[in-house]
Amino acid sequence: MKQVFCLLSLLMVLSACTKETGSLNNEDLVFTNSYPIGVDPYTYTDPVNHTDFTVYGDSIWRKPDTVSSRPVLAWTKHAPSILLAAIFKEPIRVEGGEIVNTQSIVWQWHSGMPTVYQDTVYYSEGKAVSNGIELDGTPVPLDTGLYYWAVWGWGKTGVYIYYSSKQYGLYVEN
Amino acid sequence: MSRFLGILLTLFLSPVFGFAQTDEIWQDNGSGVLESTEDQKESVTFSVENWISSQSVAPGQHLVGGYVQSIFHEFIDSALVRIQVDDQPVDSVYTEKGLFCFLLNQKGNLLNIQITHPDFHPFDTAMVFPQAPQTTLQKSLEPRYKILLKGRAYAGNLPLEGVDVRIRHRDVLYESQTKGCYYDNEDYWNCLYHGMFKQELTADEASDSIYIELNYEGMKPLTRGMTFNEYQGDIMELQMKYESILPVVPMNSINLKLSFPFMSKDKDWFVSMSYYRLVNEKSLRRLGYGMDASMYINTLTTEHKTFDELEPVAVDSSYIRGFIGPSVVFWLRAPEQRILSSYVGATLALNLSEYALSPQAFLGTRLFLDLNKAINLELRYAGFDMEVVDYQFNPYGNPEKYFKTQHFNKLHATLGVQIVF
Repeated sequence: MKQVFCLLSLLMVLSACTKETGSLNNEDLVFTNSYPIGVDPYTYTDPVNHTDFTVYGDSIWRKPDTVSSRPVLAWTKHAPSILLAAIFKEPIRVEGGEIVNTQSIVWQWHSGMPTVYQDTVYYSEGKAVSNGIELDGTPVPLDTGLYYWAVWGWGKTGVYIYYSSKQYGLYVEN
Repeated sequence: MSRFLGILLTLFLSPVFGFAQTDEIWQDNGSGVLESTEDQKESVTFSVENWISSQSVAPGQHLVGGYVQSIFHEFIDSALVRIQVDDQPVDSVYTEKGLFCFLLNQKGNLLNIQITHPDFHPFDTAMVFPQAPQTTLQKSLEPRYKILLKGRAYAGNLPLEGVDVRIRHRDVLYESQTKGCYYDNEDYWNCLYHGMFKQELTADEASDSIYIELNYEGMKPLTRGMTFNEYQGDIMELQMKYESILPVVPMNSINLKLSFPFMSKDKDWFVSMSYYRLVNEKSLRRLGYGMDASMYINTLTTEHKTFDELEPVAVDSSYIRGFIGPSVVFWLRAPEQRILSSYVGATLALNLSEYALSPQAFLGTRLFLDLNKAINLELRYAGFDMEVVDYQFNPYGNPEKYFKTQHFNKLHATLGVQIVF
């Protein structure tokens, strides 16, 4: 009887230990209390001037990548069905689990917008944003300058943000 | 005096008779020669004659003595031997180790000897009064049918202690009760003979009938009949059945009720404890009052929009609401009915989360498993307001959480157990 009790206790402890997987306190992510969305290095060809650009993603994420005015954003390890990727004019600031400088968003894409490839979004597949409002039509190319982008996502319930990438710098060169 | 001497001699002779109890065994007589029980019989006869001869007989007296044994050559103790001379009772003695002896002072023409023992068929013989001063008799009695009737009284699979047992055989009535636990060597895990009775019975005829009657408060009387030769010697299992009405009106009841999601309109879990007591007034004997404490555990699914182009998503939230309040119960069938004593009642419950009153109504019935435990099936309605949580989707962060009050009408069946006292 005692052995059964010990075994049950051990199973309960083990089950408690294995319940949560992954880190939910990653200071590098935009939303720190979430699971990471990774960005592996990738190269894309600008559809207009046919020049190749490389985005280094998580490998050297603190250094901005030089991209075209119509950048392609790609990520890996995405699990959620609801995602939002956005390009900011300023560094992203999060307070109390919410982005506070949404006025700085210049472009965004979310799961409600069609894409050709999963986890890869072409600039033309998103929408330009001005003062927090999505603009209809094809987004105008980005001006030269430094931008910041990130992608985050929700669980199936669409309530809390469970997934988030780091904040990556983009330097747009025309 | 002569009887006393006889007894003393018997004590010396008893070892001699001891080996004469069976004719199946060959005995070593000490000289290395085996002698059969036939030889032993002769030896017994010889010893009895010696014993008779050893009795002191005054002149003019006649000595009539002998040995009473069973047909299996076992001596019969405490058999009553009566002697009559010319149909006039003269004397009677009880055998000791099978031996008996009479000293007759008078002569007659006819000597009548009767030997009776409850375990044997009676023996009655008459003879011409012997002329010799001493007469030795050796009589074998045929045993009667004898059984040890054993039985155990049960209610379901529970042995019943203290059941009145009446066993009738011919015109004799034996009364006893079933026993409680007997703990063998004080091993308290080993409850022996619980609910058991036994009675030794003897009969002249194997076709004699035996009637057994069991009576216990709250149970239907149980009767069994059989003949002697039908009884195989095993312990009879006598299953008693409950009466349809409890012997005592149950005044108090404690209830534990549980409802599973499949028993509920809204797929709720429900757990409740309640206590009811009968008013027990003549005009209000079906009315009861008490207290109910209950808890609803339910999960509500709310839908909300995310991005316009996407389908709404659902989110589950769990709620626990506790209620406590006084109840009144009215028994539609008399509460002492064992089967389907139904009731209807109402509770004015306080919602412990919202601090608001919530009416509850219930209709139930119960089925007794024994005399004080019942299973209970109940249909319950409860109406109450509850604050439910909802979310406003936020594309740039965690959502806005807000509460809205919603009214719920809960209807569910509960399954429970009751203990009455």
